[in-house]
Amino acid sequence: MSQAIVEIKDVTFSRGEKTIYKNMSFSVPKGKITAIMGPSGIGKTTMLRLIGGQLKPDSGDILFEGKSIPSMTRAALYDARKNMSMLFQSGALFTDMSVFDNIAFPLREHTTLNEELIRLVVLMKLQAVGLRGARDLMPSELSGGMARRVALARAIALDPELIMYDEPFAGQDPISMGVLVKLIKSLNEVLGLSSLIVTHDVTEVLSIAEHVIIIAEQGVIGSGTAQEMLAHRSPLVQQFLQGLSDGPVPFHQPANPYEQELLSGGAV
Amino acid sequence: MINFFQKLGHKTLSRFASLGRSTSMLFGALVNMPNIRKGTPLLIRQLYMIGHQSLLIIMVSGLFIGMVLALQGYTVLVGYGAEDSLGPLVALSLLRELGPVVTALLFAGRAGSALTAEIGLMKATEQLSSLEMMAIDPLKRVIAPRFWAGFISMPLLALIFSAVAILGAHLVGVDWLGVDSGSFWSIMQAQVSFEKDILNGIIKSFVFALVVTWIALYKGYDCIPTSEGISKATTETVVHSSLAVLGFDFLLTAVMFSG
Repeated sequence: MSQAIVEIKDVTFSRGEKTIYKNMSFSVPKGKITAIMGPSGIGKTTMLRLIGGQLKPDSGDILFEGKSIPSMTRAALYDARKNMSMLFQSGALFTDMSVFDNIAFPLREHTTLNEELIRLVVLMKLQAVGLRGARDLMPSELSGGMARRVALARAIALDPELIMYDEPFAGQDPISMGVLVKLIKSLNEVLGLSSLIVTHDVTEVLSIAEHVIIIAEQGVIGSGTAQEMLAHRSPLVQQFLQGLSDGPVPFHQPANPYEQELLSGGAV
Repeated sequence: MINFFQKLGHKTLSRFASLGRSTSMLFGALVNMPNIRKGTPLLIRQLYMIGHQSLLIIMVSGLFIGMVLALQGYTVLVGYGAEDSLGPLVALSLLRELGPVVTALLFAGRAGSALTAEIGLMKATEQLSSLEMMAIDPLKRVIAPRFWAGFISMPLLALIFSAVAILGAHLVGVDWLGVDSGSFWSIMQAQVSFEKDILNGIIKSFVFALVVTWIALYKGYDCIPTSEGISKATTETVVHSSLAVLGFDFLLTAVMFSG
């Protein structure tokens, strides 16, 4: 495997009483599209927040470009974050700024470019996502799919090494879904960056992902190429990829036996 | 019984934890001031949103409170033939107490609740997280300008409140009820001391500004990012800051004026 941009080593993380990950390890190869999949509620977004340094693991280490994120000082962490960006599920555009200013924002904060150059960069980024015509709109005037594309343009404004996508396809109509799939793939190729997609939309992501990691039961249950995953022997992987309602992940929440509960008259 | 102590202990612990979080938030916002070139436009915008937008309610309330104060004061004073003292009565009660306190209460309702709701929604829509991921500290970018704007505008609003209220009292006392204008102003001038009354009032205002803005910002920053959480946080801002203002007012009055 080529060099890794992110390495997760023996990470354990719990929230309150609930253990989310137990000694989990995997790595995200450089320059490829990697997908992290798993049933909802498994803590996929938490994974991205751990990589971004917004949360700290209970034990284990997370390396970004070879440097340990959890043990960084605040200043070093903020420096490292300039090389990664994250596309939030909601887009998280700043609602008090226009589309143009939203994309110009990281440039104005982190670079010393003058306004003329910033204008050029913003227009180039908007052209890449096909929304140059929407530069003067406010975020409230955008549809969900457009907001996500604007957020994507903002995420690539500083030319990061790594983009993390949090559920980029959730709640999108088939057309915007297709547009996003194409964008993620072409941006990854053209800009030579690494992409990490967290999702449970199997078909979309398997069509573009070069490396797939499936998380369930507090750890990685399978990883490899899309073909390897489709041929994986684990019943859990198969249940997830084929979307079966019952299997190793049961349809029913654990509860008392059905008859007992119905006949007890609420006295359980 | 044990349950009671357990609950009490749990509550105390969570109060202290929240005090710690709020202090670290304020500390994080105030150390390493943002640079002047980027910070000034943000501060000016917040001064406009927080200070200027509160002007109308402050001035209207001031006018009416001044008028009512004059009316009530006059009916009592005239019984002793002391209606000439209406000027100092109104001025002292406004500058020492009503100006800072009522302004702080109005400010908590008008600007504090708006601050909490705005920051709570920024948190709920992941705007604060996304700032962090863009390597921009939300404490410096979002919290600090709002804190300074509140801290600067509230004492100014309190002074405007007192000034408008004194004019309102003049309107009722002198123009309507017939108190002599000369004695209204001259006795007021003779009785009001700059250090003891005006300065102490301003100090009170700064303390209230710190308390109200801090509570409003913290409640928004620490809220549970759901619609229910934000509505609860907004209510708590108004209730907690109003109570804190009244409590601090008593303490400060005891220190400043009892000696």
